[in-house]
Amino acid sequence: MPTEQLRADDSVLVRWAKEGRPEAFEHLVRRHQLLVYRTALRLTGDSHTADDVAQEAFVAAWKSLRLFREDSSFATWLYRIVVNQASNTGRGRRDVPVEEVPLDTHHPGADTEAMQREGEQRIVTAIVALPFEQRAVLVLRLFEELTYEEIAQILSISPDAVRGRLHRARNQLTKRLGGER
Amino acid sequence: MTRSDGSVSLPCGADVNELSDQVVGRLPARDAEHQAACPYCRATIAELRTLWSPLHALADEDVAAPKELVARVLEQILELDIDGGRAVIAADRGDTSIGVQVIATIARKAADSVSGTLLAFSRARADVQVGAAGRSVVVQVEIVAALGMSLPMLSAQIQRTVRDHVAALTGLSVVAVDVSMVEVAGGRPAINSSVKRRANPREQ
Repeated sequence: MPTEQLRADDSVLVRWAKEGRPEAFEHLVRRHQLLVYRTALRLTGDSHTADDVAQEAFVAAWKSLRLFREDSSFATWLYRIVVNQASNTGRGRRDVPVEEVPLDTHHPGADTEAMQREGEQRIVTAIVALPFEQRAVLVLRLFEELTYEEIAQILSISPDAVRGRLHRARNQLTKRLGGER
Repeated sequence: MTRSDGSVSLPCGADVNELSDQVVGRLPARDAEHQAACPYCRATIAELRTLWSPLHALADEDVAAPKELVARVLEQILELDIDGGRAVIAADRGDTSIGVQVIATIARKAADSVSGTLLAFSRARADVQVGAAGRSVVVQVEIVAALGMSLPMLSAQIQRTVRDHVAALTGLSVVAVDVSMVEVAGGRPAINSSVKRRANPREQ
């Protein structure tokens, strides 16, 4: 497909999209869909909710594209939008106290794969139970591997605040996961 | 051992928080030589790795975006645009009307299929890109062409392809296909964020 050969820089596509060309925006969506969906998935812990959040994030990006001043990369701007969208969903808002998260402590035998899946599900549950401000920092740092400075820019906080939230998130998770073992 | 500032250190003096940062973030050890030899550090690191292994497994898991995500986004943003009109095919048994957006999409995809086209634009507004009156349509497409292509030859090929596709799929008569070459391109993208940044775990 000729369109798959497109190697235009994000900034060029953004310029075309700002001029009202949805086809250019389509290329941006294709290029960044995994970033947006993956972030939504880790923030909400649920694939259906993440699908909705990702779609809403792109539509919100299209609507507000003219407000994008391009003082950050398009990817950074998208991260900001998807974090905001996730925080507005029911799953995103849900800050469940750690003590209230239901646990399945039953280990079904020696099936390694099943145990790994169970372990991952416990992690997902524990992450979603974090306060959203801690969860956002944790997801952007550990799953998206952004730097403290990049996260600070996305969340409009200082790098020190990023460090503090990450520290609290890690302690909450340690308490939670360590308490199960 | 708990320090006055609340942090916890091992008997060797290593800060447990720092070790935790290292393991959770899969960062290289600050003092690898000490950690390799110290039984306290080794035991703590092993414990932390076991504790956090499900999170690392989750982070390493391949995630795929939903197949229809792009199509759904496009459908939604196109609905935000104004309906630019319709072409009408009258028949004894009733009329068939085809929105200019439909014609524009067919035209764009046809132009996209021509070798040498990097990107095709065809907006769905009668007054801007696609004119439809009865059975006749005028289509205008904007093209980002591959650098090095003969633009007149590319334009002629696009005109033939668009005319044939629109006529075959809609039954409408394409009276003109106006092609504008708006840009030539051929560089590489600066970021491909669909690819996860880390190719390999950094844990050492």
